[in-house]
Amino acid sequence: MREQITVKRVEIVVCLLFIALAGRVIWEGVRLGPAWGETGPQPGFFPFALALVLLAGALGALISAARQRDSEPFFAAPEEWIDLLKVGIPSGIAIGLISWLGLYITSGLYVAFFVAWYGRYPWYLWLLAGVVVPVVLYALLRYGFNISMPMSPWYRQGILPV
Amino acid sequence: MKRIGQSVFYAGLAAGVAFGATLPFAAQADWEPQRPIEFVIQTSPGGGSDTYARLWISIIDKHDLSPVPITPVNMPGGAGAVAMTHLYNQEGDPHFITPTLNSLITTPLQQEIPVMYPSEDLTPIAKMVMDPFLLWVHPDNWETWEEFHADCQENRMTGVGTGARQEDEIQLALLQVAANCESFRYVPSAGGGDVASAVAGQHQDMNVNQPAEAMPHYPERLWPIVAFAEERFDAYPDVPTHYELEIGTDNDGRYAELLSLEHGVHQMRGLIGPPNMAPEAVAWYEDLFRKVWETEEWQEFIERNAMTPIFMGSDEYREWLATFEDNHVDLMTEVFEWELRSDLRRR
Amino acid sequence: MEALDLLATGFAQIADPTRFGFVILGVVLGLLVGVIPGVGGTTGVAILLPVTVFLEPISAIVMLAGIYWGAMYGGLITSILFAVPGNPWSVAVMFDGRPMAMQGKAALAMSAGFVVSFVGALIAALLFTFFALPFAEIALSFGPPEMFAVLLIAFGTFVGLGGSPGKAAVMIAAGFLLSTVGFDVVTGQPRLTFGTITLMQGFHFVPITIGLFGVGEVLFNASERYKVKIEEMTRAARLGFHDVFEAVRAMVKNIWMIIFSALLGFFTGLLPGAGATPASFMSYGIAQKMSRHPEKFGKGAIEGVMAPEAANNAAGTGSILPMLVLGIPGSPTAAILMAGIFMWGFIPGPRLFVDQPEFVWGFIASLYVANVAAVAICLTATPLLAMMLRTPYALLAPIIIILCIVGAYAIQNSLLDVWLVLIFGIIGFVLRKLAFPLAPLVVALVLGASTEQALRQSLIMSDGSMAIFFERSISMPLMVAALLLFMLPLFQRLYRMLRPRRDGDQAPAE
Repeated sequence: MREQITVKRVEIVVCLLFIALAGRVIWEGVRLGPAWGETGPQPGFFPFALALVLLAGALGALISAARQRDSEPFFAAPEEWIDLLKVGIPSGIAIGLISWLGLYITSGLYVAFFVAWYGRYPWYLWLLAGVVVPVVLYALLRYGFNISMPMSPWYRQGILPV
Repeated sequence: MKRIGQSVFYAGLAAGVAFGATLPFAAQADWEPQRPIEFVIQTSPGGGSDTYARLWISIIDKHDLSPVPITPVNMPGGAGAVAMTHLYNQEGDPHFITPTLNSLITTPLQQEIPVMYPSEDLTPIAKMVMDPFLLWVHPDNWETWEEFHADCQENRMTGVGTGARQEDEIQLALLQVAANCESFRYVPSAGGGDVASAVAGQHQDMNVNQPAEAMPHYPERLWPIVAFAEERFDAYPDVPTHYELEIGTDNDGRYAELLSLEHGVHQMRGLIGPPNMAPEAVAWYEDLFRKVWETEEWQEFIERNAMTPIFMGSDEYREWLATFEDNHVDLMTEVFEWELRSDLRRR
Repeated sequence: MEALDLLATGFAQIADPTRFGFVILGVVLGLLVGVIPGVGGTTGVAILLPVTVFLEPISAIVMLAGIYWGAMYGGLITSILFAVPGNPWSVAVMFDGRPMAMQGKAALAMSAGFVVSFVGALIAALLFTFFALPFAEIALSFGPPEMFAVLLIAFGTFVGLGGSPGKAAVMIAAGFLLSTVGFDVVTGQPRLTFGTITLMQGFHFVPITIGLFGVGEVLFNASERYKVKIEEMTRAARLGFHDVFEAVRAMVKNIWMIIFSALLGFFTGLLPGAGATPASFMSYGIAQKMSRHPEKFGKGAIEGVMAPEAANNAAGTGSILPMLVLGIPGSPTAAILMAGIFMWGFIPGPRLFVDQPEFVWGFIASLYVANVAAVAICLTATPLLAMMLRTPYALLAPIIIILCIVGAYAIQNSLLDVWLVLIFGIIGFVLRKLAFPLAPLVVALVLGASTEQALRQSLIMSDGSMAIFFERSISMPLMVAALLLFMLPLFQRLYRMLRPRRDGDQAPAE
């Protein structure tokens, strides 16, 4: 599986994505008016022109990628892939949870989980980290600087202070 | 002139105090905020309405007028569209308010967002001040409207203002039509300060700044030649009004009325809440901001910045907004022939 | 010297213990908000403005100045330590600061940044003190065509910065494209929003840079952990104040480059709408072009830390000047300070110098005091800050991610921005592994919208004629300089072709 994902293949996929993006923006640029009007560029000019540059650059990169002979794997060692997922997946889930649980609850759960699971620290340490981090954040952001952050649904109902 | 203005001002103040003392007592204790109030601001920190919001917050804090803190929440972008949509989505929750400025009217008429007419789709709370427009030019170029007018019928002038298809552009476009000038060029700029320095640096010919924005350059580099109001302003007693100069006074004076401060175009600084706010909550806010309006700090601020002191409560503000919106629809569709949102419901 | 007398009155104003206390309090608060990425100076000053409104005006302004300077210094800390730039002007310092931290030289990088920040701010403060009025006039003489020329120069300094030309083009175009999303500046119609309201807010550079660099870096480090562990590498470094001496030595060695960067920063800062961000990019680009070892830039060259820091702190002072002297807010932060001055009942402008000399000169004196305080606090704290890198990875990684989220959300209170952090984190990781250069994307994203606006404003003024850029006395030389900069790589190639052998012993620049 890891051997299948080579730098060359990833690069080709990325270039194709850029080309697709450029195509979509060119379409939008044409809709907005891609020309150079009487008083300078029309709204669509910059998106259109930039998308052309993007297209040209991505085609250039695509060609040089396709010409590459060697196909070293994108992840040099299996550990790379595993470590990446071990850090990336919890972070992704935490970012997703923020929309539901708000910043403070999510950060407590996330820190506690990560310290316990990735760091394998004893229970009192992960519990401590999971409490201290959101409390410090709350003290600094809410009390100190009065900055608004995402809150849980229970905040609205008056059940929780966060 | 100044004395009349002042006595009107004090009479208004006295009336406001008397009014505030009698009316809202009944409703006052019925609702109180349960958690911090979010002040949803449609500009970045430092922008025009952000400054007002933060000033009000600091007055409320200083006089301890609110039992809960008020958190400023900046949601810039889309010329107010993002903040307005957010406010709209808080239907019925009175813990959100937004400072008003004119993009509240101009943006929803042009962009397809859930709000179309704020007077109907949101809950007006209070109007705190009218921020007047004057026409400013560089005194080396022109010193009076007559000089400017003669010139503008020969040459194309360049105006500068905040944003595109918003209040400054409307006011300038209206002036051009009303005074029969050659068509103005319009350079959209980032904010009041930039707009002022563009004219002060003689890069552009004119702007319609509010006094506070122009003050740093007055009188050496910025000079007011028209006051858009029925009566001259106390702060600029020598600047004639557009009625005196007969700008737009033909044709029943329709353009003149639209240019004028009271019924036409000016920056409205006030507050608006989400749709369907409970009447008790509206009363609470009305009372809160009436108290803010009456503070010495706010009155001083109004006077120093040559604004017109006026307080409107919720119902009055709603009515006034409805007329203001209709005027804008007329102007934008009939006079300028701009393209408004496709699903516009005409009233 | 009249200015010296006035400055002395200014210092006398601050000598009051309460006011002095407010300056120091401001610096400390500023450092605190500066460390939260995305919150930084602008929001920091805005947040604390209501607190100061009803203080006595001189205490209030010196406290805000303290916050401003504190945040300027604080911004580079997260850039260097975690690759999470807190401010737009702290992006450039990251290009070399972060690699230095990875090599265990975080304390040196930070010390160099702080020391140079101080020198930059000091040079700017001296110019401010003695030539405030004539410099303010310069600000007024810059209209849209001049701004466009300056922005072109900023782009020009980044031409040929490395990477394959195709990939660099992709990145510049992508960054510029991101900056065009939102409302069209001239017609006010939505562009590239694809019918959504959320996209009308556009792409703010903060969540994107935080994602590309901050989260991208966390992911990249995660994937390298089986061979390199930062906390072990940094543990080897000896912490102490010897780094300060080394930083001072490096500064003395590069003093002309630093003075040049500070002057460049000061003048760019004067221009309304330009400010510290283009200044930091330009001086980074120029420092690299002028360097004898341009290939070391981006891999931990100390010059790459010093040039942008000298420029952005000088620009920070520069952007205050037109605000105070002419009421032109040169930067968002200056706009907030100006709002404060209005709230205290003063009107910025030439008359302020006449009517309120204590206020003005107290403020100018606070520039010196706040900078001395900030550099002293920062240098003392550097070893402690550098120790943060030794935090166990299991705790540090989630904290960095949370800081990234806080910063991205705080900027415009949008959950979309939180998602952007994740999305651009993944994009940043992939692009970095494929050797796409990320710096040009950020430069284009930060400067793109203002460049387009300046161009279109100029062409409205001239009814569409490009001649406007070459007819005005200030924009003409600037345009010529910009065009020459763009052609510089071409000249260099030509030069090398004509003299092929003699330079053979030197490493090629590209």
